[in-house]
Amino acid sequence: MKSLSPAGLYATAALLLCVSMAAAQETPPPPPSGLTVVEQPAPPAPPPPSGLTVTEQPAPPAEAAPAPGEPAAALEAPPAPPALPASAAEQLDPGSSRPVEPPAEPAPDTAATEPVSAEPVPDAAAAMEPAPEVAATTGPKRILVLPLEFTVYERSVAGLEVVPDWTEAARRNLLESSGRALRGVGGFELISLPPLEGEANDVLREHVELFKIVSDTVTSVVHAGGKAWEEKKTHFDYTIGDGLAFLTEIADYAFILGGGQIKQTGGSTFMQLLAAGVGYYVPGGGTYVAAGIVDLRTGEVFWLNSMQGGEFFGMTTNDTRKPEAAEEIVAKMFEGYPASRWVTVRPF
Amino acid sequence: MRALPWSVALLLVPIGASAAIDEAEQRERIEFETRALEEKIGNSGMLFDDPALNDYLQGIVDTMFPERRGTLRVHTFRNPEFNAFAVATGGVYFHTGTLLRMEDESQLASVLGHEGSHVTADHIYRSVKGAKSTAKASVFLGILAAGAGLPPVLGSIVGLSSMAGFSRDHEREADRGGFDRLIGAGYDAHGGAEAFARLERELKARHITQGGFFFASHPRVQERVETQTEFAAGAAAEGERHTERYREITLNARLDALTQLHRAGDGKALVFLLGDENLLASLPVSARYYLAEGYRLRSEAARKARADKRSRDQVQAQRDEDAERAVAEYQRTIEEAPEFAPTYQALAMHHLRAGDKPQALALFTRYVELAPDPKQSGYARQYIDKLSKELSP
Repeated sequence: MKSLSPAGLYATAALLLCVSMAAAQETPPPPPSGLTVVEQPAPPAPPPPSGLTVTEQPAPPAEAAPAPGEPAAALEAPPAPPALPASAAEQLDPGSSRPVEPPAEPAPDTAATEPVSAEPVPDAAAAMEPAPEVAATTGPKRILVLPLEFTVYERSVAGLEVVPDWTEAARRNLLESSGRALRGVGGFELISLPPLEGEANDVLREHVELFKIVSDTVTSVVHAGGKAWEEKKTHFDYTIGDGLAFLTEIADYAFILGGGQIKQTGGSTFMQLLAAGVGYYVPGGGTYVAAGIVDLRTGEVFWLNSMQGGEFFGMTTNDTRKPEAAEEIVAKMFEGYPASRWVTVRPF
Repeated sequence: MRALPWSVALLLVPIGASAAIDEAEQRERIEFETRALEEKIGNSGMLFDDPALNDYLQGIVDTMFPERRGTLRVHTFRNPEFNAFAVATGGVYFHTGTLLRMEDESQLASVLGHEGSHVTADHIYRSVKGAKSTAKASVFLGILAAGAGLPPVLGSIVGLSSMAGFSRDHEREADRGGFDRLIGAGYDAHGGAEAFARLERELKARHITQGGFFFASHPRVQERVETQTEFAAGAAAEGERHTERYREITLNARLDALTQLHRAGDGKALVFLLGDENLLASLPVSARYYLAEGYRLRSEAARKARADKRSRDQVQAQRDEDAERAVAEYQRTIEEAPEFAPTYQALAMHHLRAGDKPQALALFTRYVELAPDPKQSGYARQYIDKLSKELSP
């Protein structure tokens, strides 16, 4: 039976740490074009601005014909779209539309061609699809920023645990960075979600859940599913249906961001090191962010991107609790907007 | 011998340093996560929407835990299995399947008292704290195991076993607390023992090992029956049961659990609950349809089972017997509940499979008369068309 040698363990762990750090230093940060894998061509131009006009609902799907002899009244009428509450109507007043972030960024028309990141992205533009039509319209399109669903966990030796302070900090950072990107790169006017109640709230929640499924499908199947799914990359036609069309009263698009982060404790990191020293893998941490823009009129997923990064032995550059890390993550996701890309940020 | 202290020192220094959060922060973490969990449950569509039932359950809990009025909140959870759970923020989630298996308010109150006691005894916080302490030890064991050529998960299993033992103490404490609340609210002392005795019989009848079915970390059911019986023996006079009130208010939830078991194709559970335990007596006469379906489903499951330890002849005999019982129960349901449509379709399918097309046509026709909605009777209409053509001269 093999005996445990603490000295050997310690040496192995130290060696692993040194090797990983050296590898990180030797690995140059990949150029933006290296990260760029244009998976989705630029979507067709979005429809012209609807202003404040209430969009008409598309015709309901045809019901099955009644059986012979059955009265047509036996068929159920299609459900009426949920109505916005009175409080939401206040959002129709442009003066009451509260942007998520004060407009500190350049005007949308100039910002549309500039990267959000402080660092220029010189080669990215060549690999990008044409400039987004959405930003070239005369007036900014309105985008409804839905509450972020992002949770930060702590992985200790006991397991995973949600940390409220970290979660709130990460949400705040990602929200602020997303707001800047949406206004800058996207040329959007930000609209915050009015309080919804009853059926309207249920319908919104169901569509957000549906979006998550679509997002996960794209992540797991389209991007990593192999050749069988190649066509989806060039014919990106995902949709969540037109059930959110009732929100076109207040916005043209919706922005949804979700994901999570796992941050290791010192104990968890040490355990990972020691386990690696004796040849076993123990899970560490990491960050996953998925974001998308949905056309509220049709439900088409206008833009979708996701990003993942690891935390190894307690080290990561994707710590969303830090504003600069959140800014970098969001900036990379919006590179080449509106072309959707699959970005993997390396840990160092 | 000298290696052990070295290992301990290496491991515990960073672990101890990283795990130092105070009680307030730990409680905040638990509550934050629990609120998110409760929101998810609320949005999941798994809560049974019956205001009268929820008011009834809440009233019982408020009577049993008067000092917790407004903070202990009961919800009915749509799940056909025997279970209930409490969360740190005071939510108690009671399965419709548990309501199905209870016969009166004293049995119901025994489970509500148990769950409420988890909250009042602060078991969630204590469990998390205990789990963290145990996990630290399990890390040490895991690394030792890995050093000895064993996978580190072995250490975690050792740790988990400790946690399970710790949790069982909480369960016993909740049993005692729940019983005291039961008596304090004036209920019959035998409710708990009766409820768990039924659970024990069900586990045997359905060949279910306890883990993963009902409160995996709970003490063995037999032990719980004995404990509850002991508690009841020490109690004074008999208390309230409120059987009729219980049956009336919980009826919709119990029927919902029944339909969920039916949809899940769980013939064993249906036959056990409605046949062996005779819970039919507390349900409308049309519920006999589910007993008939239970026999049919059990018969079909026996045909499909490959891991059955019985001989082929024994399995076939059981299958035939169940099929006959199913037909008998369908017929009895039609006699007792002639307006209940699903029985006709089920019996029509039986006759169709048996080759009795005229009888099948007559039953399908009757079914469509009782269930004219084309969405509901689409298949039956197709069979009527097909059989009518086949049987026309």
